[in-house]
Amino acid sequence: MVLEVLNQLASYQGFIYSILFLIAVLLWFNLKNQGKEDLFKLKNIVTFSMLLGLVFIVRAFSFFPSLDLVRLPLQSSLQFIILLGLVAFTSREFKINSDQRKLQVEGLLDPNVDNPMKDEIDRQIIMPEIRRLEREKKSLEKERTKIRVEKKVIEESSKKLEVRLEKIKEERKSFRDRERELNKERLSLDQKKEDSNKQESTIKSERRKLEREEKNIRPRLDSLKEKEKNVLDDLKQRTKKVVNLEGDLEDKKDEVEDLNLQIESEKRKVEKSKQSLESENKKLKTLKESLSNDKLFIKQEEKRLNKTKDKLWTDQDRLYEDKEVLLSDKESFNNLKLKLRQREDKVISLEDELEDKKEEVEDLNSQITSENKKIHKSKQNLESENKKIEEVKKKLELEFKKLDELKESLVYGRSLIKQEEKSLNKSKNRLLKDQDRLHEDREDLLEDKEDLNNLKLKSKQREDNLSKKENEFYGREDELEEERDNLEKFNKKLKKEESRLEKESKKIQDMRKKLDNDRKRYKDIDIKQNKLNRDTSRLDSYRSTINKDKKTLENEWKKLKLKRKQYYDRLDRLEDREEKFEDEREELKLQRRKSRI
Amino acid sequence: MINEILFGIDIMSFILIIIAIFLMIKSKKFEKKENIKEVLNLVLIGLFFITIVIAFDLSSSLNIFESISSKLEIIPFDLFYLGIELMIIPIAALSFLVGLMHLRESNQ
Repeated sequence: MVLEVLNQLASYQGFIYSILFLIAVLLWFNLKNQGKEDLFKLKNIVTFSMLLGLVFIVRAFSFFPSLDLVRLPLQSSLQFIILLGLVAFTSREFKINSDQRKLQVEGLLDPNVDNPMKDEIDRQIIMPEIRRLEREKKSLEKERTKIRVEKKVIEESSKKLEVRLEKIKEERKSFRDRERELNKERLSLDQKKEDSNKQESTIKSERRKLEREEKNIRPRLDSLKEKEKNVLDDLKQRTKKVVNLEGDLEDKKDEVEDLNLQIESEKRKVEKSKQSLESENKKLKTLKESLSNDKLFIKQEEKRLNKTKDKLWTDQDRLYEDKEVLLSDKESFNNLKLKLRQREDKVISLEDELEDKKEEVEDLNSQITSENKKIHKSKQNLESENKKIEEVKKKLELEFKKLDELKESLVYGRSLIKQEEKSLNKSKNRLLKDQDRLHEDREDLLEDKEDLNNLKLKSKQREDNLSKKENEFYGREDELEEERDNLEKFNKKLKKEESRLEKESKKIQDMRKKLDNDRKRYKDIDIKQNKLNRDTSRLDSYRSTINKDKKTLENEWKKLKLKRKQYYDRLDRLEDREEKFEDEREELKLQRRKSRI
Repeated sequence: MINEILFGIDIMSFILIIIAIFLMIKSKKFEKKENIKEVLNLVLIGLFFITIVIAFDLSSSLNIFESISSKLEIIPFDLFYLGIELMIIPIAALSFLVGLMHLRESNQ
């Protein structure tokens, strides 16, 4: 049912939209006849698209299925032809329009061609753009300078902040150091307090000790003073004795020295006599040696002579034969004997002399021995005296030693006393110093107490100041951190702006490059334009010929239009006739159906 | 045979109308006046609907939608086709008419 209804509706609607298309077509052609088609550049496209309505008019006859054989090929062929025409005209017009636009654009770009549009474009489009670009440039430069200034300001502020931070850090450190120092001072003051208390206690104890010692030392000092007095008296007596002994000793010493001098002179004499005796002894010894040598010689000669005697006695038998020869030898021998006897006599005399001298030496020796004995005795006496002197000396030395010991003991005692006095003085001085010190310490302590109180007050004030400064510092830190954050944000913004500006500058540079390229193109286009001008001059000549041809063609076209109108009139007539013929046919069909029925 | 030739012609006309629409869109920029541009837009709308109708004619000849509708058991294709014929062709005609009326009014 629905389909049937829809089919009926479609069949009716086919007529409706065919009427609508018809109205559209008529309207368009009416407009065309009125001469308003010149408003359109794409008029042919619109006419062909309107002609598409004819296809749908043919399509409206679909409810005549008997006409399908004719309708469908006609519809499709009409559709194809119209669309082909549409495409052909659209492409042609597109080409013509694009060429025209190209020419216009080239004319715009050509500097040799005087086109009013150019100036307008230059004034209205390019110049404002150039101005805008210049403004942008200036604004960019200003922004750049601003950014640089801001950068510098930020850098300076960052440096200042860093310096501030460093200062704050240093102040922190100094505050901490001060705090530590204050704590140390506190501790040291506490220790000083404790030390002063201890010192007070020690001084008190020392005072007591000293008082006790003073009490103990006083009797000793008295006894030592008495001892001193006794020792000094003994010393005086002993010194007197020693002085007397020393006088005796000096006398004895003088005698001993005189004796020594005599002994020494005698010794010198003895030594001289000894030396002379020794020289004589040496002479005697040399003589003895020479005599012994002579004796030996003689003995050797005697031996030799004995041998010779023996030989002679042995050779007497031989010698008797040579007596005469030997007599001379005898005489020489006798002479020799005489000489020997003389020599023997001499030696004997010398021996006698030697014996005399020996006796004299023996006498001298005896004298020397006696004298030596005397010297020995004197020496012994001297030695005994020396021993005595030495004993006395030893005694004196012992006494001196004793005296020295006493002196030393006295000196030691004195030094001890002095030391004790010194130690006492020192202890007194110490005590006085300690007293002074204590007084000073007390005063210092009082001053320290006052200072401590002042320091406490100051430290409290400092602590308060520190706490305030800390609070301020924390506040400053927070502010600085906020400032930092703000600066960082500002930095980021600036960086973003910088990057944006850089991008824009890049764009401007690209634009510049493009402009340079465009200038180059303009130059190329100028060259082309010159060529085109030449071509246009040629084309103008061609155009004049074509215009002439056009006029002839338009005349022909008008003629053809008239013919077309005539043809369309004929077609309309034929269509009317066809319609009449179809009506008659339908009437005949109806009549036939009616006749069949 | 005739049907096949007709089918080929229909395909060609479909291609041609698409090319024509493309060229029209391209050459529309050469018109300076806004009124005429509007008229051309309306004409283009009409042509677009006409292309849809041609596409449906082609599909009916290929029996594409019939097979799809029979498989999916949805609205029968005849109904669909009739609905399109009832809706789209008058819209195309009306768009042409409106465009021309607009042109007439603007010129008056």
